[in-house]
Amino acid sequence: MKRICVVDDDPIAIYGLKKTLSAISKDIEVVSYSNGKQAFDSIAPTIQMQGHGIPDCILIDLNMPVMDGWQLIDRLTKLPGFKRLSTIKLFIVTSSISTEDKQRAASYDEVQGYITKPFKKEVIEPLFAESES
Amino acid sequence: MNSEVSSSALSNNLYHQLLEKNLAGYWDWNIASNTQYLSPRFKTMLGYEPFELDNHPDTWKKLIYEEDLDRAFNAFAKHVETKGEYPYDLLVRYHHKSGKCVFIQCTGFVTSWDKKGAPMRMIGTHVDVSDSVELQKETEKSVERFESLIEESDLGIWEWELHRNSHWMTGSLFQSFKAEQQKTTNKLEEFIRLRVGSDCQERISASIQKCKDESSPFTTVVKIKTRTGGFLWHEVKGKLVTEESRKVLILTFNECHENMELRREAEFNAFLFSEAGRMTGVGGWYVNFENDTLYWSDQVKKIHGVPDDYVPNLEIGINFYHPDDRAMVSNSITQAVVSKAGFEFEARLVRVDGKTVWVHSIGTVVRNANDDVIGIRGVFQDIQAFKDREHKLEQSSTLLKSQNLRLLNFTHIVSHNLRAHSSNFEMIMDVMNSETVSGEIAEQRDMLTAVSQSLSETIQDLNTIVDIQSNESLVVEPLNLKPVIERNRDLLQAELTRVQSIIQIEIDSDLVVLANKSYLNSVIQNLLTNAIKYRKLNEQLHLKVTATIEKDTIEIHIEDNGIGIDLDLHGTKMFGLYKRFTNRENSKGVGLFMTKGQVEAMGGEIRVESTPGSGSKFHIKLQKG
Repeated sequence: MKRICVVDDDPIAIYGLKKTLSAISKDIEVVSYSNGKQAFDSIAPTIQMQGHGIPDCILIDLNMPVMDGWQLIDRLTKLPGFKRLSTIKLFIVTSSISTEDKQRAASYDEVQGYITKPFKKEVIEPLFAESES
Repeated sequence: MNSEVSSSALSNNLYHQLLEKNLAGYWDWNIASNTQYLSPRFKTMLGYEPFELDNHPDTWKKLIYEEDLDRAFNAFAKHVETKGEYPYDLLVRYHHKSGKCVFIQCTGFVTSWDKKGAPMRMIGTHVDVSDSVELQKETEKSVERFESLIEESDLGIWEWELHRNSHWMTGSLFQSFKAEQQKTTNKLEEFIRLRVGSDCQERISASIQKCKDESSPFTTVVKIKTRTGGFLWHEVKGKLVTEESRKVLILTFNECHENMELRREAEFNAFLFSEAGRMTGVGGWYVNFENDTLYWSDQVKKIHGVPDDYVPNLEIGINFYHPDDRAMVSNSITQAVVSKAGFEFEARLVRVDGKTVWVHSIGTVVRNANDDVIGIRGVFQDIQAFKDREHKLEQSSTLLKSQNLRLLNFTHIVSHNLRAHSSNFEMIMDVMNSETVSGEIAEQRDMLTAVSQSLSETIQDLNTIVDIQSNESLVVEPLNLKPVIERNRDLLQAELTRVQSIIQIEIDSDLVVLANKSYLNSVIQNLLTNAIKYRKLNEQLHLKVTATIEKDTIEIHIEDNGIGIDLDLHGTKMFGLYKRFTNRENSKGVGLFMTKGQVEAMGGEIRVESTPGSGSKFHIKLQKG
């Protein structure tokens, strides 16, 4: 069972993602958070503890209240345990097509990809196929 | 001998002594006996001792110049013929013993006649006038030389002896006038009337009149007509010379056309400078290091707020500057002197009335023949008005920038939010489409899907445009051009194969451009896609991508044999937003607008050549990497 975290303040986007992911595989557990802080508070301890509940993949929206996607990425990747967990994959899933955002995303080694909404099943699917291999 | 008798007869004569010792030789010719006494003075005049020459009528004939002999005979014949009325008095030349020429004034008269009226005896004197003849000849030569000099120079001299109303003039200036106006009485008046420019006539006539009446010398400048009909400026000086009872008005005419023209030009330039200076607030200044003086033009004084009669000096000059600017001003000038170059600065000046104004000063050093710096001069401008405008412009610019930024942020937010909604819309449609429905619902769902897709595309375009326009920190990097083109060709390979096109890429593999990777991909992709879209449907598409190197740039050329564009018709809006030049379904009119925006955002340029029906050629110029 793969554990996928979706961080997005838009419930419709979470709904769409869940639908798309469940269409890809039945063997996926989707956990969603409505902003970066919520996600960090929940995910960070699992990374630090190196224990149960570490996500395989985190899909992060950029524009969110309280803590935005960039802040979340910064804080997660700075966690001491993060680098040791090479299994966690970070993806940005956003409706922003700004070059500035794309360039910034490319500057993080830890970010595996930049997916623009609306995300298509064909785009998401190979990511998981790769992670399975 | 008769001659001795004659000699003894006169020996006691006082006259004899006077003549013989001081003035002249004399002779006594007894025509009847054909004897002649020649006094010793005559002989010494010719360089002989008295005993060396015989007292004989033939003696003088041997010594006189042969050319003058006839004149002597003729004069004698005439004297005799007129019974002494015609004086025997002539200047003749004699050979001196040393070979030189002696001029002798020979005067004589017949003292006795016979009954038939034939001359019996004749006496006369010989006076050596060589000195005065030489002098006269010298004088004549000098006058000749002087006249020829005058003729050759541009100088003209006019002498008018008032008492006798006689005129003498020399110089080429009067040559033709002299010939034409032989008989004119009022020669000078006539000359003025005929030869002096009409606007100068009154002035010179008045000066001459005053000179005549009050003996006051004058100098004036008049135009004199040339033989070719033009005018040349002449400086005329006049003065009245009084010699005993003679009054002579002397006028000199000196051609000064070039000087005058230069002077007029200089006056004109000075006028221009002062007027231009007045209008633009520019003045001139000069620092003379040789005597440590400082000159300011009126305009410079005006800028400083000092009166026109103010005399500036070097020490005070610097104190007019704002205390914070003095060091900079002083350094600029010192540097200019040391480097023998120039300077330019803008500084604040505190006027006499306490007002601070901005001035712009430009200067260059002045060097003498030894290349030593002897001064520094330049222009000085009040630029307060410019500064005020600049300040206002800066304020407007800041305001505009902040308004622009707010507008951009707004556009950004709107376009981003719109996109979030449209992508949700599209995504929901995707979810719905995975369900099986039929009938009218299915049709409506298809329509909704189409609307959703169009909305998404439009909003995506809008986002892209906003992104290009607002991206100030675009990253450009050196990119190897050939692989970029090939990659884009590969991405479109399926489509290129489908339409059976031929694509040639002829680019050197070592060409590197400075570009943003995603923008460059987008530009190439868009132009290749356009070529496919706007191909001729009845002809195979030929695409050719080449590149040329210029100094600092590389130009990429993408050429097709498609339908082309009528640039006369669409040239100006070619790269505009939502401009469509065909009715093809898949033409949205955004691509070229974005492409241009992307090329320009990378600091490049894009242009197109096209012939309807023959194809298009796009040129993208980018910086060399």
